Amino acid sequence: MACDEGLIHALFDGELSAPQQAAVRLHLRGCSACRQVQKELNWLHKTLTEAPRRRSWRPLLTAAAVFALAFLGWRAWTPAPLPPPTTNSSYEISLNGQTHQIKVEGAELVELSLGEQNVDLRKAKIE
Amino acid sequence: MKTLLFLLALTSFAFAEEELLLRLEVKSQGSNRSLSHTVRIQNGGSGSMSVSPQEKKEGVFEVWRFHPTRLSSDKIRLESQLDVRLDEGPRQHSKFSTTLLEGEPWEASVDTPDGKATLDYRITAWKIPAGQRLLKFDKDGRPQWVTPGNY
Repeated sequence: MACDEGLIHALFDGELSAPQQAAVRLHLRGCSACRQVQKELNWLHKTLTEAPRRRSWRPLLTAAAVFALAFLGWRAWTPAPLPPPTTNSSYEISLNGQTHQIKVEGAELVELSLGEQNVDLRKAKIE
Repeated sequence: MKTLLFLLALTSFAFAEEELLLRLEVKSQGSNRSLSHTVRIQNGGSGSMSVSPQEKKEGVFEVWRFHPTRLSSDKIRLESQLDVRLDEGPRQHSKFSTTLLEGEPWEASVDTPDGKATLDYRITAWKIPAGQRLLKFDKDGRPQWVTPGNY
């Protein structure tokens, strides 16, 4: 039997009949060049099967983008429930001769005017 | 795709960290009352403001609750609730949901529960430039900003 690298590949892939396998194996015993080909083929197969598979991020990124767009759309069109206020401040002001209390929660009162007159919030604030 | 995700994340982050300025002007026909408050509130957060007389005699108790969310560079969604009551009288509850254009006032009128007065409200919203605070409103009612430390 003459050297035939194609038959070694076919043997490796299990594509030969039993008599053909026996003939190729017999040839391999006596041919160092073909044994070297078989050895390299085994090494290549082992290397490929043990190599870490490259992970594809494309499906994950697509899903994340779809989720982000859906979330932004939902935020834009759906009124969000009112979360509880987090900060408190209280002010006393005089309005038409009557004292009023202004309480602010979850926001900062930065300006307060009575008619055309600005109220000094530092003086008005109740500590 | 990565660029799109980055822009989405950046936009969400920038809008989430942003603060808004809400100016509420109140005029009461019948009691000659003119009052305006301006609050700083976080985009997407909520804040409330209540005005109540210390002495309970013919006073109007008002509670405003705001929940502003910036939609785009010049649009702000404002969910708001208003509770009005007179002394210990019946409470009137109103809910508003509107999209404001930055700097453009939105107006609402509410009759007091006894029907003797009308409360006129005007709400204007602005986004606060990063790192700045309100200094004052100019004669046209536009906010003038200042960087803290540069007063």
